Amino acid sequence: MARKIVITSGKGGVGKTTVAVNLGAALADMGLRVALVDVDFGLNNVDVVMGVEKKVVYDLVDVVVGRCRLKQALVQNEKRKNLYVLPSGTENTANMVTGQNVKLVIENMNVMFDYIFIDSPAGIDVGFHRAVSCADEAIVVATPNLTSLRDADKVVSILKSYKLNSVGLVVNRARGDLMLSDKMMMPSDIQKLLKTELVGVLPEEDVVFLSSGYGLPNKSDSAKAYKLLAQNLHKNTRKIYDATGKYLGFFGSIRRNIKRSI
Amino acid sequence: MKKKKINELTRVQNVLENDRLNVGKGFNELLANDLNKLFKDYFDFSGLPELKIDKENGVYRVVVSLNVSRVRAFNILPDEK
Ligand SMILES: Nc1ncnc2c1ncn2[C@@H]1O[C@H](COP(=O)(O)OP(=O)(O)O)[C@@H](O)[C@H]1O
Ligand SMILES: [Mg+2]
Repeated sequence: MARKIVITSGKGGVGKTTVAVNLGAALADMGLRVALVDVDFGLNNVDVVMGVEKKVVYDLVDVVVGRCRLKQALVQNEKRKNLYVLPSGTENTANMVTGQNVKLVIENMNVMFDYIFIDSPAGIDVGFHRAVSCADEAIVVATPNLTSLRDADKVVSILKSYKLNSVGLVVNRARGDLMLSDKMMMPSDIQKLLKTELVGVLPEEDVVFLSSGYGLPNKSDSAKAYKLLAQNLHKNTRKIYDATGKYLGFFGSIRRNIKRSI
Repeated sequence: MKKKKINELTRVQNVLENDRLNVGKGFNELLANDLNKLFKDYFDFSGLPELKIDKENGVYRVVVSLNVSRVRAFNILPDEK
């Protein structure tokens, strides 16, 4: 039985797709079979972020209407053979797919995978419902700023009506240097505000690590943070990445100053 | 510096709590008018019912108070339409 987890946020552009892809990759690296189901019929889809868009032949809509079999639509990641994407299809086909349709497709993937992540669109309308109704668990992604938190708060309250097994909070784009100088809220504060359990913190990444299709550089801060998040999910631990860590101490203060001056 | 952070945190907290309550500007007035209509069927009183909404740990306590001079007898309750 696969764990079916919807990645959601309310607000767009906070990193849902990025989190889905990199968290999926981290779990795949632990030897688990992972599928990313894209239900965001918009731009910057999972296939693009994972760099497999050229390999896409069929998509979710094709599976739903019976143009192809499920296995034909699943796209395998080149580097991680146990990581797959089910692409969403184009915007104008979105209305051909109901929550029930997607649910059926996902049920059929149950035995093939350990984790199925459902990447949801921004907003809290039809697309949101379609995504959440397929899941047993949810991850709410928020960035440490007011507009993102307002939307996350709304989403958390709406998720309560879905009878999910768990709702976890991931704080994305955390900047330790800003937190230490009190210019950014701490993830622990955000957890209290949203009354949702923190399962991961992901740092703001300077370098462009996405759309490379090959995952994160192994030693990067993000890679460490994603690894912790993946372990927290899989082993039910709660080891949270400390974004402030590298800015503490003597060398840390130098790093902080460098950050400030650029 | 610490003070700044606490202010920011309080601000975010207030915004979220206001969002949760979803109380617009005219909310109190609307509710008071509706309650007025409702209570008028049961009691004699002057003025509008007074509303007090407190928040504590993210939970809202709504207290309605009004000074009633007389409880209406059942036979003067309005007929169902
Ligand atoms: N931790 C991060 N550090 C830097 N940039 C990020 C981070 N997470 C996401 N981004 C960038 O933010 C943008 C939106 O991310 P995306 O995952 O597409 O958001 P969503 O799916 O929620 O709309 C992308 O350009 C992505 O590269
Ligand atoms: Mg997205």
